[in-house]
Amino acid sequence: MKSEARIFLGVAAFFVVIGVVYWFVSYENAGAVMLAASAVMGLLAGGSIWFLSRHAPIRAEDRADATIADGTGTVDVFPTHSVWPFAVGLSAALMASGFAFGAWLVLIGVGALVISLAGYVREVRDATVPNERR
Amino acid sequence: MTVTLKRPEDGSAPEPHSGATGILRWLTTTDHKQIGLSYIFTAIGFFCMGGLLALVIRTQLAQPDEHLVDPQTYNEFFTMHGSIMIYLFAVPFAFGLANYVVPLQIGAPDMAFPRMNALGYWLYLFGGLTMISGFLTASGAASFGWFAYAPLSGAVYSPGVGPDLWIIGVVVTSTAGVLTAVNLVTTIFMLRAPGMTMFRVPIYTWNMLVTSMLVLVTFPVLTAALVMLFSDRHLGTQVFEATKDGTPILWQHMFWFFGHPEVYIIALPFFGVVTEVFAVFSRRPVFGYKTLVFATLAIGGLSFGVWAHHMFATGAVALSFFSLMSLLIAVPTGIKFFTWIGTMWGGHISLDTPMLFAIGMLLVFLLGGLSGVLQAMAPVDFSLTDTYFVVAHLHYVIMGLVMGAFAGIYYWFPKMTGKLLNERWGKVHFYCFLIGINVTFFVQHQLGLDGMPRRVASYTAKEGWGTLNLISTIGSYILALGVLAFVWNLFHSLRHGKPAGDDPWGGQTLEWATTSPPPEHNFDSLPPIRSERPLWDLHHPPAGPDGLAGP
Repeated sequence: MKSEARIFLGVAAFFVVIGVVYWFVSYENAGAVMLAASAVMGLLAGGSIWFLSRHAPIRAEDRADATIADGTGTVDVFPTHSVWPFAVGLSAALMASGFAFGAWLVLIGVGALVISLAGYVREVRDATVPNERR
Repeated sequence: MTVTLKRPEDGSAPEPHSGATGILRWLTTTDHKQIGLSYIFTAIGFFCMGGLLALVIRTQLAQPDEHLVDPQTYNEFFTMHGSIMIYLFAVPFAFGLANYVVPLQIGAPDMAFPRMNALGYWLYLFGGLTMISGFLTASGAASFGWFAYAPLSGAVYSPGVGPDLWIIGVVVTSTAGVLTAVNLVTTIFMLRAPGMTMFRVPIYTWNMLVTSMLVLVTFPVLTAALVMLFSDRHLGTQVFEATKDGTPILWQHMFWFFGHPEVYIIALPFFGVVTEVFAVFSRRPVFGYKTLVFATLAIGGLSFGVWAHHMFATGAVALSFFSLMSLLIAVPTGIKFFTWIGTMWGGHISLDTPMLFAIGMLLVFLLGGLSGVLQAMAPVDFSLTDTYFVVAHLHYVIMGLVMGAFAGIYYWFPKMTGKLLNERWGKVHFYCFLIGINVTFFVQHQLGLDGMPRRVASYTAKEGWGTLNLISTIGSYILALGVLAFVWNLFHSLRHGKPAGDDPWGGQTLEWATTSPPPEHNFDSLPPIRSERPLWDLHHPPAGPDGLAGP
């Protein structure tokens, strides 16, 4: 996972360089802040992947000589279908359009969002967390 | 229901089917292929709608003193035309295609977060509907242009609920974009097949990775700016209010910090598409694979140093910095053109429709890029900004990318449906587009040089812009014919298209190793991955002790 980390760390380094140059060329606040924040984002993502990669074994997808058989085993748990994304999307959009139409719609949207998010999260938990750890 | 997936092996058991059918299946699916198709069809729907608005605009401008729609409606139409094409067509279409293709190209069973993927689609759909629902309100839709400059977009100059719906719609759809970007990055980092190192990932997937990273940096900035705009309009803040110590130019900085990388968010996916198409239809490997990867990263990086070239005319930005960066970004783009031509050079080129569209993209985008280099020079920009020259430039850029998008549809449609699109209708579509684009937009360069400002609802006869505008309008109708040919082709081929087989084009990447359309979790078995084109290796084993076995 080292090359993945390097990509994001490269992003951070790039934003640091361009941010410093930009600041001394323009002394303009908005752009400098946005460039600095982008550098932090790159550092955050790149740093965490780097940290993970130090403690994880080298994966089959990182080895140029790996065969398909080397990757045998569980990939992950995948849902086949779920109604909750639709419900969350609809209630989020309802809530958001409430900001244009009035508080009554925001309230309905928030209510629907809480219920649908609960359903969404519970479905993920039921699929991935073993019974005894719930 | 969920399933725990193992890596595909030889003869693994078929996947359990979700059971739902019809509309229920569409509402509840978490399959990246279904979601990808939903994105693509929804985006094409919005594309047709944005195109209709453009036809009204062009019809209004066909002659001097034409008043098909009143100026307010005209403003709403060009605002929604731009907004629909940028926010509801270009980005979602690119993400829809990526949704379908990226997991297949890297040998993954699905996207890393299938539920979040579905959520992204629904947010996009409902956000888009929210945005265009402005037309149904008494005050009409937003009418401040797709970049919503403050203070025009404030409560004083743009009152009413239509602009609010526009702001909310963009926030919701850009949230969908962020979710999809997170999903794509995670998928590409975590779900690649064994042996597929980062430098064996196909160029299209690389481009989607860089696109996603651009989205992760820019969309939150846009969302933040929109939230500030909304709170200026309704909550009494004065972030962009010049009369009350606010700074309207902050809007331009924040918007274009999103808005310029956005151009590359639209461009990189289709650069990726044509790279695949050039290689496959020239029967050659991608020329300069690593160079292309680094050029893509360089374009992504440099795109963050050019935002204020949209703001030269404000006189309040560092001209030399942004001029230099804008000229620099032409270098990696030029490298890409070089590698594309290098890929085709000496290959066995077959001019099927995907290849025609890819070559068309090369021509059209090149013209857009060149006029962009001109305007990167601040003195030139001062005289051209806000004229039709800019309209011509940006439409050459974007129509070039639309050509790339169509190359992608013609290329992957057989994989998605198991049927080939009709070649004859495809060629009608292509030539209508190639001719239509140039007739519509080339004359607009001259209109701009003659001083015609963009976004005017009408003009008088004494300005002498009538003839060129009429030519441009005729071109736009040729484009509309092309879209009709495409839509007809789509529906006709879905019913009566020739069966495609698994690999109709002689593909080089993993998506062609599975069936058309692929099964529920994509692969029953995978070929060994020893280069960036595993399928080519499979069909062309190297000559050597094993390959020479004979009588």
